[in-house]
Amino acid sequence: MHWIGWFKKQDKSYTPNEADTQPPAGNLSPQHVQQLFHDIHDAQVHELDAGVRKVKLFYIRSFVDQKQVESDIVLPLLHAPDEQAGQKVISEDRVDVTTLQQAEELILQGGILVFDEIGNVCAVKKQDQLGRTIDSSEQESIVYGPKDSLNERLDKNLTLIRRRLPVASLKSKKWTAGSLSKTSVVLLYMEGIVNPELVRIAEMKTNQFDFDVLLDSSHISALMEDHVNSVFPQFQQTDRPDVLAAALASGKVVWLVDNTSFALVAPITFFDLFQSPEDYIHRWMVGSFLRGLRFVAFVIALFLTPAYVAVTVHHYQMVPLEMLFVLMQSRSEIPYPPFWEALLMLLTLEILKEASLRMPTKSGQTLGIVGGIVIGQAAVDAGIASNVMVIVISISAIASFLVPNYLMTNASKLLQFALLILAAWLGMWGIGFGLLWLCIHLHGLTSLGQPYLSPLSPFFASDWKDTVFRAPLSRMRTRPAYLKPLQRMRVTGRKP
Amino acid sequence: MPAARHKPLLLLLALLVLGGCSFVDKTNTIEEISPVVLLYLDEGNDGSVKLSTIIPPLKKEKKSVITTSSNTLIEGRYLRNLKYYRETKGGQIRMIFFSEAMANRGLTSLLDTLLRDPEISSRVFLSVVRGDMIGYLNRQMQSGQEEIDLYLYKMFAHYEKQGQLTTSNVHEFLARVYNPYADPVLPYYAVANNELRYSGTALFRGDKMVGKIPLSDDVFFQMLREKRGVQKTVPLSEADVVLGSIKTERQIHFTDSFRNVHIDVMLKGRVEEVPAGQKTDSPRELQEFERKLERRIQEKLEKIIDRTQALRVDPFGLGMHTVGWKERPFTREQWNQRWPDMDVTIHVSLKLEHTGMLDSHADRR
Repeated sequence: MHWIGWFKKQDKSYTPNEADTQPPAGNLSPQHVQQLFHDIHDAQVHELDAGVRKVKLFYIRSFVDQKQVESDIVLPLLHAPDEQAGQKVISEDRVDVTTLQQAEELILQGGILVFDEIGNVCAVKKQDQLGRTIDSSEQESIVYGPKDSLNERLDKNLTLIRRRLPVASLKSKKWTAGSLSKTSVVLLYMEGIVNPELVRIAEMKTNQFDFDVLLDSSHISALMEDHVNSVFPQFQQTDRPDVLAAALASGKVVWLVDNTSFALVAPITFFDLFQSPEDYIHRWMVGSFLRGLRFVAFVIALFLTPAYVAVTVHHYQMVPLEMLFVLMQSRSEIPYPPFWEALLMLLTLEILKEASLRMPTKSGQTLGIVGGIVIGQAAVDAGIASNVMVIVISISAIASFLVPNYLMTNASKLLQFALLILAAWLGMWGIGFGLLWLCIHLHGLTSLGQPYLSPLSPFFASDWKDTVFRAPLSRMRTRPAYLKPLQRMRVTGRKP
Repeated sequence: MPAARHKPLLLLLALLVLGGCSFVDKTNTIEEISPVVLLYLDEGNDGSVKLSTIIPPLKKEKKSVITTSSNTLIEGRYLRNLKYYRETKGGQIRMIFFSEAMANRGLTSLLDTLLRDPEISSRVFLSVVRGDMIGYLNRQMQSGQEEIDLYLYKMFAHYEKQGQLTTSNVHEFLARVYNPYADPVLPYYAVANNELRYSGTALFRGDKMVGKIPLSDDVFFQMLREKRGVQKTVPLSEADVVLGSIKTERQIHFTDSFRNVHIDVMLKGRVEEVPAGQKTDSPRELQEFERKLERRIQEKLEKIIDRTQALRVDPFGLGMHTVGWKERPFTREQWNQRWPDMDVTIHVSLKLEHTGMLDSHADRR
């Protein structure tokens, strides 16, 4: 009965490696600091003979501008005649240091540690100016509307949001996550609007991170997700400060992560993934139409190829006669069944797409030609793929890009493959099953504990003005009800 | 959560069980099958059915008509599959032509087979054809009309949409076969001089063809058949007049405790061709002209009614108008006996429009 052991739950509890998390041993002394930074080639120790006293400076050369050290620290020290030389370091960034751990942190954040001989330790924190300037968003590009986007610097990102919501009720709480990466995570919410329960869950989840390196907000979202085994994103990732401001103002919670240009928004619904900031720039009718189009495109992206396979494999009866004529003509010389044809074409397309993402931009054109002409035209001419299939695949591929959320686009690809297999196996029955499963799954999903399919289920009638279609802005007087905000009304009721 | 743990298992079970609802054992992959579009059913020797179709349908390949002879339709299909390298399928049958002999013999048993097959739509066009249909199809395909089945289907679909000629399908036909107060009709085609021509309406008593309305009377037959209709051209050849864009409306009411039926036919439309010398300049002349045409049309309609009464068929479904909310004065047999002897009064009223007279409607009537 040994084999039963295989099914038994493996003992997955582990003891954390003490060395990882242990604070550096020893007390705060130049020797210990030096020992801590041994074998770091650009760790610099600078000894100054400042009059009577000797002063030691510790810093990492690549972090610190040498000239700045001269002007801000060395010169004031040299000109200080009295004993407490360390106190003479005049700078607004001056911090007193008491532990070795603090010293390590400060040095590795670009600070300069100053020891004077009577044991006073202080550090001057020099902000490193590394980072991009504010660019426009490439992921969620829009034609009209604000063009600025977040970048990798947390403080700048905060500024971008605070500029849009200059009220004190915009609260921010900071955590440091990742035992090695020490990533700063900032939780933002509007006090008085957001439901405190959401903030509580968010804080709880943010407290729980236990991982070594958190390089991106998506890592953090992966650790916070309610449902790990789902293809649907449960956090909206965006680098648009206007989207974030709108989310905060409607009662959602936002995480900003240092060194990431993407912030996280939660809770979100399935329908949020289809919204673009451009919806609100267009006239409401045009905006509604475009949003509706995205839902249609999503359905096309998901179901067109499986439906084609289902029809050609199982349900020739369903096709109008004229269409059947075209289908039979295009299928007649293909050496393999529709399912394999669809699968191969879809895989080829995904390979092309992935390649074009990973390739340097300059070779992108070659890829377009190879993809478009070789895969499209030549494959049809050679009789490897039918032209109807090429049309179906390309329409669904283009349609999949209408969904503004990139994560959703790729999720729909995976679903498409699943539906394709079901369609080839059971025909329309299979697609029906797939759809049913999808509905059940979506219905069970939650984002930050809130139902993913609201306002459809649970039903919130007042939220439908900004779901599938978008009502005029003057009619959107209430915040989304599924978020249970403390303040329902967007309007103050006061006449200007 | 035990329920969550069993979810995949339940899903798999459901898929396996309900998988039986799909026709997984049959292959329907479209390159492996040959969906038949057109069937021609003729009477063979000693009561057998000759089943003909174009093979391969819907493909740009060399085509021919293949015929199998058997006692039943299904057997015919089986024999046909043995003759051809792709499996023929019935899910796309769109037209069934019956030979006149077959129609005279009765169609219920054949249509019943078609109705029983869930693959076959009940919107299959039915028609009776006289002449050498197989020869016609073969000659069409030899002369380069390869997609003759598709063209014929498009023709039928067009006729159905236009509603000026008789079209019928399995559903309509069988609904009328089983209707006690109406008799079915089918379009009647004739093959002559290598063309397939609409040449009237076949009249059925029950499921057997008993007569037909010739093409010259067919326009007037249509006026009686539908409550409202449109006829693009109404030729009155005896008067050298052609009426066009005619809207027709028919009203039926019974009097004298169902011994007499009044049929009012109201026509509204244009005159498109008039004989030379016919004056329609003044309202009075126009009115006279209209009365003259009304009489012509009335004669035609009376002739048609006489013919149907003589054949003891009711293709207009007049009997359905005897049925009220609560009363049902006739049984099937009673109506079948009453209809041939019923007094029919037809009243035609014609209004010509676009005559060029401003007050054309003001003075008349």
